[in-house]
Amino acid sequence: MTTSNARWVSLLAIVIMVFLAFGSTDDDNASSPATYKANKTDAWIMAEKFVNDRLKAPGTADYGSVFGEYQDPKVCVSELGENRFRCRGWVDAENAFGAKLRQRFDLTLNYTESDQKWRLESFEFLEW
Amino acid sequence: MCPVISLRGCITPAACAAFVHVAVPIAVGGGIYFVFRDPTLLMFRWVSWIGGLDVVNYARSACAGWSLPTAVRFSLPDALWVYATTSWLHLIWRGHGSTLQNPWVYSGFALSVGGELGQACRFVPGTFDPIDLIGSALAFLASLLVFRRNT
Repeated sequence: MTTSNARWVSLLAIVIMVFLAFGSTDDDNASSPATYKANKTDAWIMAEKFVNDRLKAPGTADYGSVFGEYQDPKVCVSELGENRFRCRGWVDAENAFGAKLRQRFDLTLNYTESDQKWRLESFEFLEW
Repeated sequence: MCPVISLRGCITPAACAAFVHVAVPIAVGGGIYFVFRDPTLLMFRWVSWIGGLDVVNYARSACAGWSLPTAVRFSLPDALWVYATTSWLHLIWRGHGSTLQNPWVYSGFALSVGGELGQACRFVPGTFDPIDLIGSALAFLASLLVFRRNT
């Protein structure tokens, strides 16, 4: 590659990389409380955090994955309207005795647009 | 020789090096952003425009139970960006003298440091983090070592 060409290609490379880096900045529209829309995926992610808070050994929690049993938020989460979501699923985690057990959970979350926070309305570990 | 065995003989060594040292770090860094970072980032809008939001949501929900160390979640993508940029510029300027090569090769690191310092002075959006600077410096040195050793 000639020096002149290398200069142009380098400039193009830098522009592409800066463009990609720009993608990691906040989207002003999305971060605005007025336009962000709470969705099932985010509800599921928050549900896992709330479940982890209630486990004896949250570090051992396993909710399945694409490589194993997958809990699809589209199936496990129901929209109740007005930014309220009901999440039903299971988690494999160690209990106080170190035994790994599967527990079913059923919880309801709501997303408050004014302060952009998820809150837990109800939570229950279910019997099998 | 291409380190990716399945690509050996199929593409030129330069394209293979670009894949390993540029495309893979960008893909890993982007993957960390898409899976573990806040969905209010601009890249989520871009991926929504090209119809890839379902794939991203699938990956996010599948990995929701995983927790990455803070340095990996926040600083590794920046370091990988510096590594990829420096490596790409090294590849472009391979065969040219170091006098011509150096200013370009250093530009990725300079941009990263400038961005971080800009964040510290609040000229650039984002949060200044000294770990980002250290990670970027290490990534820059790693790229220098890899490419200077091979030339």
